[in-house]
Amino acid sequence: MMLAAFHAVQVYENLSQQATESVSAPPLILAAYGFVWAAVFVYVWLLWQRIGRVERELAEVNGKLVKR
Amino acid sequence: MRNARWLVPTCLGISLLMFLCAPFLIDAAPQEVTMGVVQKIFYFHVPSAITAMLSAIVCGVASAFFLARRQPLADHVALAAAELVVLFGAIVLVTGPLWARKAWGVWWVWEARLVITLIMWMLFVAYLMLRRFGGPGSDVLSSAVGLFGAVLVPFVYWSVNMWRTMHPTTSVVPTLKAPMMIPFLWALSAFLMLYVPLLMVRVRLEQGRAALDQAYLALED
Amino acid sequence: MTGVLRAAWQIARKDLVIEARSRELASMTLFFAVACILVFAFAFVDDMGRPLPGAAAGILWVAIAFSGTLALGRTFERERQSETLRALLLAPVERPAVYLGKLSALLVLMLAVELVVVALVGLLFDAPLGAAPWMLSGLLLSGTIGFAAVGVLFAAMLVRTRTRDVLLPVLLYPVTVPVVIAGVKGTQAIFAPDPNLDLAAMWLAMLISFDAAFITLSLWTFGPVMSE
Repeated sequence: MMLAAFHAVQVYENLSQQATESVSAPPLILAAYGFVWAAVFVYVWLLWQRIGRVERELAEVNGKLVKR
Repeated sequence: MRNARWLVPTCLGISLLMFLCAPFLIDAAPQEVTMGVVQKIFYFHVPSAITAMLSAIVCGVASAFFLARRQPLADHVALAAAELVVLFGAIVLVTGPLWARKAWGVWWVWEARLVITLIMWMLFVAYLMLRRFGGPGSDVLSSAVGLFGAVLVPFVYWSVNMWRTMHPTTSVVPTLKAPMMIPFLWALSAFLMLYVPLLMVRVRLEQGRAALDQAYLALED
Repeated sequence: MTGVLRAAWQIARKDLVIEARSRELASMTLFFAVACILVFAFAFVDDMGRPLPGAAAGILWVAIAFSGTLALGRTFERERQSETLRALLLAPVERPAVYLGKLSALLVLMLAVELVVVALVGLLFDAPLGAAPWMLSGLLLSGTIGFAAVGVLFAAMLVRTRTRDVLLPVLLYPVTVPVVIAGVKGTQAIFAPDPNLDLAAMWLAMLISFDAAFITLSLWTFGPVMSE
């Protein structure tokens, strides 16, 4: 099993050398960080929207209850 | 929760500040010898993973509480935590392959830690689907799912040590030298500072929804 | 404790007697497993018509997982239709007994189906079933236990849910994939041209630890989840 693992690492290393030199790092880094920011912002924005909606509805319904 | 009004904006503010400073700290950190500059994705990738696993544990504990005591708050926390596992898990699963493409030459490999992380993420997506499509009583059912999800977390953490794999082992982080450890801890704190208010706000949304349901019921009487 | 076991045996016996008389589940599950194997076999052969190396183990376990899900869905559907599950839960029987009873009955069914399925896989893929029969049996037994342990919990849990047919696989597969992976890896180690029994033993040990964790967790949660 050790031999198999060693062989696998060799294969990956070879793959790495061939494939990684042609790929440039900065776009990947930008994409990674960009995704993090985007995901968090989208989630926070969605939360904001949903809370606003629920609170408005709640105020409405409570208003109706009070009138009764 | 009433006197915690200041907590959410404060944590969010601190987190935002930390995130804004992070790129400078990360840029100043030394480059890793074998992988070069792309390794810097690590500073967001690993804290996300830690946050996701923490959230899974929170979900599991809240689920266990809910199963035992049936307190609505426990259920709200479990749901909020599950959503955050999906959010931070997605970050891990996207930033990881972006890093891997440069470091290993492929987007994905079928080895232990990646597979189990993907499974854990899918499990919490399934949790959310059960909540959405399961109809009444799905709060109780999903607590069972949340428990299983939380049990998976130790497997994610130890899978790297159990199977000798390509993914850096868990002994890397504790042995980081100061120039790398400081930006890492900064980023980790930023993520945790973000996690707490997100969880609280999401719980507040659920409480609002529950109150709304109650109000509609009262209206019908 | 013996009360629980005795009650579990009664519940399991009920299911097995029903099955022996109708043979509905056994025939359906078996046929479905065979159909699965054939479909995958057609997909995973090379141009010369030979199966891809290492494919046999994967196909075997996928067939077990898919047909097991079918059997799970069906046994609880049957309970739901005759409202016997509610009766079982209302009866003065401890919840763990209901769980263990259903689990045992399902295990007998799945293992019986697996006997045929393994033989078929051996035939179609020229897999060396005799290379390590005890190890293979151990892997199949512990893998099936792990799968069924979670399956019975989730299937019972979803019985009253409208979308149960779709939700059962959605919930079940993420949790049981580690079991399936361990089973496949262990079986691959046995079926390989030079079998590696130490590796297979490692996977077997992992399967046993999964079983322990899953059965414990399922026993704990079955009661609270099933009571309303």
